[in-house]
Amino acid sequence: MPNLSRTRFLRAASSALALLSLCLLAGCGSASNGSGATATPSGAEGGKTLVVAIPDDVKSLDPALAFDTWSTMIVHACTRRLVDYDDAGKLVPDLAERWEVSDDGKNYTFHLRDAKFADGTAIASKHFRAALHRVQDPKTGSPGAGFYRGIVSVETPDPKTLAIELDKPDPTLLNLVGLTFLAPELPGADKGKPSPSGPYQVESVSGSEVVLKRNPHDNRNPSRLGGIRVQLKVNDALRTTRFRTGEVDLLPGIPPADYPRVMANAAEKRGVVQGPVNQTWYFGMKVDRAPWSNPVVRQAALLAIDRTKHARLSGPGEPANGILPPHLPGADAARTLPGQNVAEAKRLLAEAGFANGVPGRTALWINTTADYLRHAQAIQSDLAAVGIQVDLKPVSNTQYLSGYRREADCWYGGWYPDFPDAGNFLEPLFLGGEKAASNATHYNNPVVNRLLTQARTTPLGPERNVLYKQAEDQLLKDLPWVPLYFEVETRWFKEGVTGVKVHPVWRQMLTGIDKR
Amino acid sequence: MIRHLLNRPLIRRLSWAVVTLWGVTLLAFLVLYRIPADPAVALAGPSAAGDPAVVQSIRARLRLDQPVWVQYGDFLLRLSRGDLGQSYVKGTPVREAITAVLPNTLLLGLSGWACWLVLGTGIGVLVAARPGKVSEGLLLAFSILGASTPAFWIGILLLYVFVARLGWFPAGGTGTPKHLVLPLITLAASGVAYYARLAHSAMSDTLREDFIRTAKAKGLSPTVIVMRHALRNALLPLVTIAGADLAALLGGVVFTESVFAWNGLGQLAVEAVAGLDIPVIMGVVLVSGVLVVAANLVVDLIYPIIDPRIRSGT
Repeated sequence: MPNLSRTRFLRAASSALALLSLCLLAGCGSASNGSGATATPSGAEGGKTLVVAIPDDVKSLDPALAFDTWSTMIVHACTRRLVDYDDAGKLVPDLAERWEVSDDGKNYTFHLRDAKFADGTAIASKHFRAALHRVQDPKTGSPGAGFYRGIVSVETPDPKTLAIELDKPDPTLLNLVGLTFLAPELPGADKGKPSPSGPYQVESVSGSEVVLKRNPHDNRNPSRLGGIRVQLKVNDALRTTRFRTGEVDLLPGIPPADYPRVMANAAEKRGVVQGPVNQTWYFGMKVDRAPWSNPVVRQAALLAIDRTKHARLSGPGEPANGILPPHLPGADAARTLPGQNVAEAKRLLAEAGFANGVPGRTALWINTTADYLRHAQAIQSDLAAVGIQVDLKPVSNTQYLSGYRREADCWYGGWYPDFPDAGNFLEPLFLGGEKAASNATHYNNPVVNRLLTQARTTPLGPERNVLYKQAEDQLLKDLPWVPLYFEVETRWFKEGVTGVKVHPVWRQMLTGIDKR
Repeated sequence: MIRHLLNRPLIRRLSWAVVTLWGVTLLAFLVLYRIPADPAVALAGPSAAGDPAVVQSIRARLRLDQPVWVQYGDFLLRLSRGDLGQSYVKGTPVREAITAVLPNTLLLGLSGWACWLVLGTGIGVLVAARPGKVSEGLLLAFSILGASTPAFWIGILLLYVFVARLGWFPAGGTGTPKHLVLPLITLAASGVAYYARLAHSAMSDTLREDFIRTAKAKGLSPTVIVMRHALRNALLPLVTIAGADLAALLGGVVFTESVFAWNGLGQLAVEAVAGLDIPVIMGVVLVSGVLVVAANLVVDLIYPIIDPRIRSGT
């Protein structure tokens, strides 16, 4: 550097650094994200904007791929399906105004009502067929592909008629066509976003926010909102702070650290709504591995664990008195299970030859979140009190999902069905034989297999419910699970926000919410 | 300058930088594939994860059914075209995901780094130039407190005081200069304390050197002695450490971004690791590697400017 003095070089470097800083600051000022963001839905002139903050990212807004809670919440808000669920979780017509089912239960014919996508295109039967074909295509790699394996043909005799043929009767088909996987799809549209057939449409997606604006062609949207901003990846502390400072209107739950304080404050509690969802949290055991292969040890585990403690730990949850959540069709809401009885658990174990405790230790798999850890510690101490020793094995969620089915001897987890049906809840978990890959407990009882298989093709109604009740009775005798508590979810919203609910099927739901 | 940049040592350094980055990607790839978890199972979700056909179709879509060396070959081939692949989770190009957040991380990281160097060094030099029991005691307390307080704790404290209580700043996020203030303080606190202590020590040692005594004897003013003669000598160890500390800074950025929901590379990395999104993890590792290697290269180039003896080889 012979022609540049050190002083001049340092001056030039300082100027360059200052310029770079200015550029970066100017750049960051032009694209505002997250807190204090200026992004407002462009169609929001006619109504207010609701701001929601959620803890995670949305994985995919492609209806064929969206399957997690938050992605589904947004896809749901932007689409309508052939059928939907009312606030009680009952199936109701949506884009299909009526339908017929053939006598053999293998042919469904749907008749569509007049409706339009956000761009004004009339929604026709071919748009549903396009969605179905894409989900069924193995190249798509859709997590929903398995639901539609029984569909052998889809015909669109006219734009208003959709005819679906099944290889065998499936009384849950109406539930399947209600899933967001089968939202109508516009040909040539961006697959990364849902084709807007519902109350809202995706206006923009950034790493920290999804902005929805009203779909002008959805004339059945009861809300007057102009749009919704969903802030992504906001941690517990920031969610509470943004809510309290008025930046956020709605939280999909109360962060655990704030829950007791909010519920103890009458003014704040007015902005809280709670409701049950179809989810059971449980302690699962591999029934073909020691010590859980011994039915007496599983029975002792049921008596050792304090289920009311787990309900309390969850916040608003209810102690589980069965495997099926009480509001699920086919569940026996009047069922009861014996409460914690340490003396009886010890007596059972002593009779089985374990007076000095069950030999050996097994690993209790959990993911690394604080919620899992709290419940796992409670299970560990309750089991230790009767002489069953377990060590906690916290692993990442990805490792947990990969590992609990194959490797774990026992684990703590939650399960909810993809749609409200006892078969959809019990079959993946407890049917032995051909679907054993998804059966993490390795439970295989011919009686339960027969009942579940028989119920699968039995029309919806009392006869089907009886079969599931019998299956659940047997499962609670064999105890591959100790059911712990039924999930009750919470929403926290500001004054002036109305229509917030915990939907028993959709859980997190943005539609129907308004803001004064 | 140009002649200096193009001389052989630079080319040698650049070649080693490429080899280092290749080693980083290979190591990261092998480690990721030793993790006992299947990204396809995680993507399928809790219920479909039990359906082998669904999991297999996801695996095929992501080419996870190929041998590891084929997947790594694919990665290198794509990389040679400037393509970092697609996110397993979102299906969007990794390059887009990184370029969307990189400016935010550079803004926070470079500002933090600048604070370490300018503020930290400034405080240390000032105290060394005007030594006194009180000022040196305060510096010692500040450096111990700053270096021993975890960044996430400082972040939460700042959020409580300046956002929840006083309402002076927005509650996290990115966008305006106001959004930058609290994350920057959080990120910079420990580094400023550390560099202040380091600069103080280096400056104090330099001020005891013979050439400083000579300068004083010549009648030069204290300001000229410190700024023109002592500072340059004291800076050399700081610059060396500043280059090496960039990796530590990137580690600190991860915590800071998580606390303040700062939409940057750190947050992207945390999500990618949680979801075992291998292409995104590889992209973040590569970009972080490039930043660290580039910073060290810049430090190497700055040496001769600060100390002419290095350039002349004396």
